[in-house]
Order: sequence, then structure tokens, then C-alpha cells
Amino acid sequence: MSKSEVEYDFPKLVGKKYGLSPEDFGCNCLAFALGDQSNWWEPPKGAGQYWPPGFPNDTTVETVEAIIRIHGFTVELLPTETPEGDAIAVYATGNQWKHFAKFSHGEWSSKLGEGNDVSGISLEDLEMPMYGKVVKILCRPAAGGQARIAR
Amino acid sequence: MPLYSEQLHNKNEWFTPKGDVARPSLEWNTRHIALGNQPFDFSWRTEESNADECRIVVHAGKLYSAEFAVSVDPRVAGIRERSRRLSVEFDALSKRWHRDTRHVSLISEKTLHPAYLRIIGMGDSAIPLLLEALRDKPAHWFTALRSTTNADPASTSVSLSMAREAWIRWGIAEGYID
Repeated sequence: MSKSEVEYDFPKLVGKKYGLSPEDFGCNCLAFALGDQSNWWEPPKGAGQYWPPGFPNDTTVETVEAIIRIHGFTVELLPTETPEGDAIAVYATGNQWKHFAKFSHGEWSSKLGEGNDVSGISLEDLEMPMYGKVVKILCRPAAGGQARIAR
Repeated sequence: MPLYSEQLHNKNEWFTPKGDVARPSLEWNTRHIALGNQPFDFSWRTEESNADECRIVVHAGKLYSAEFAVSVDPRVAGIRERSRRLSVEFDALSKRWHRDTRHVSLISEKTLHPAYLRIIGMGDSAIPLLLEALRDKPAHWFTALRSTTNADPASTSVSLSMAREAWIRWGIAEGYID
């Protein structure tokens, strides 16, 4: 998708400097946030979708939080805190997750649907009815490091 | 089941005809006519055609000519014929669906879009169009394909690329696409 198509759906990005990757059909935002760029993480498993074994086939925030935590993202941050290590932000409407962004190498990035991923964004840039709002930020502390830096 | 089976009257191993006899204008692909690695000019014409059989005469330069009797699977040929009449509507619905859901993170939400549901509502007439769309560009057509075919050749595929390949293989084997 072109930059104009991305900004049509995410008007808060207009006028901002951000990175835009080529389109990638193979993974979604949750897979991207967890570092898997070859699968589409969504229940149920099969028919082109991946879902880790042992977790309920639902899209609740509780279930996905448990999945994220077993990948080492165990420290919950406040929205006012900046992650020190890698982190994942969960966007949700009510109790249903809608989207994810990841913090790595000092910046937030996110895979938009089946299209591009954007980098160098703020979490607020993607808050819109389609994705809801950020309801949780989970951080994976760097080895020997701390999880958060107060803003 | 393949769309047609070939009976070569003048068998020649280097010539492998591929075609879709359900189309009014049969589309031969020069990739399939080659001497060694050198493609050359050829022509063809349909001599007779009915619901069960189509006779085709092919001339490939001065080197080769052959006549083929091609049998048609009437069920699949009928579906392909109906699908052509829906192709304009399908393209419009497909574009609308892509535009409106391109950034949605969940396939289960993408497939609830009214345009997607309308495509499913086309029934088996949508099968060739869905498979062609999937062949030409990756997209989440798997739910619509499962719904319209009552088949699931990608049931064990855990990646989208695997699922896409499985469906395209299935579509070719069943004769829905070339």
C-alpha cells in the first residue's frame, strides 16, 4: 500500500516522519510483535492461521496477554512510561484485542493488517475505531537491565 | 477432476497443449509450444464445440500440425461459464473489500465485510474467480473458498503461503483454473 493509502486510514500519521516497509501478506500484527514474520497469529490454528497450542481459541485480552507473557514480556508498564527493553502494546475494544505494536531499538513499529509495517510511530498514531485504544503495555526487560524509564 | 482430457491424434512429445475450452476464445500459451527452448509462431482454430467435446486444430509453423478432441467436464465448464458473467461485479466487490479491510488485523473480521459476504453469496460461480484472484495476488480468500467449494485442501496449513499453494493446486486439479 502506498503512503497515501496508509495515511487515509491513519490520519494522525499525516505530516509525520515514519518508516514504511514493503507489503507483506504473510504475517499480522501479533506475529510481527512477537518476532515471527512468517505466520498469521489468529485462532483457530489451521487453514493458513497459526495459534499456539494450549491456549483458548479466543481473541480476549487475557488470552493474548498470557501468550505474550510466555515470550518474556512480563513487566506491565504504565502508559506514562517508556520501555527500556523490547515491549508490546495491546490495542483493544472492550475485552477483544484488535491490534499490536512493538517497541524495539528505541522506537515503536507495527504491522498494518496484510500490508506494510510502519516504524518510528507513536502509539497514539494508530488509535482509531478499527484498532481501539492501547489497553496494555508489556515489557521484556533487557538482560540485567530495567524495564522502564519514567517519561 | 481436470477440466478436459487430451487425446492427441498426432502425438508429439514436445508439444503439450494447455487450454480452457470453456472460454469462447481459447487461450493458448506460447510457453507450452516450444521446440527445445525456442518458442515459435503458431495458430489454432476451434473446429467444433458442444457441451461435451471441443475439436481444436493447431498449426505450429511449418513443423507441426495436430488435431485434438477435448472432452469437457460439464459441471465445471458450467461454473466457469457462469463465473465469467460475474467477473465485473466480483472485481468491484474485491476492490471494495481490500480497500475497507486492508489494515484489519483479524481474518475473522475481514470476512464479515458486506462485499466479502456478497462474494460468498455468489456460490460456486465465484470459485474460479476466487482462485484466479488468489493466484494473481495473495489475499485472505480462504474462508470464501471453503464456503463456496465445501472443500478445505489447506486445513492443515499453518502459514498463509502454504494455504495459498494448497488452494491453487486444488483449483488446477479440479479444473477451475489453468
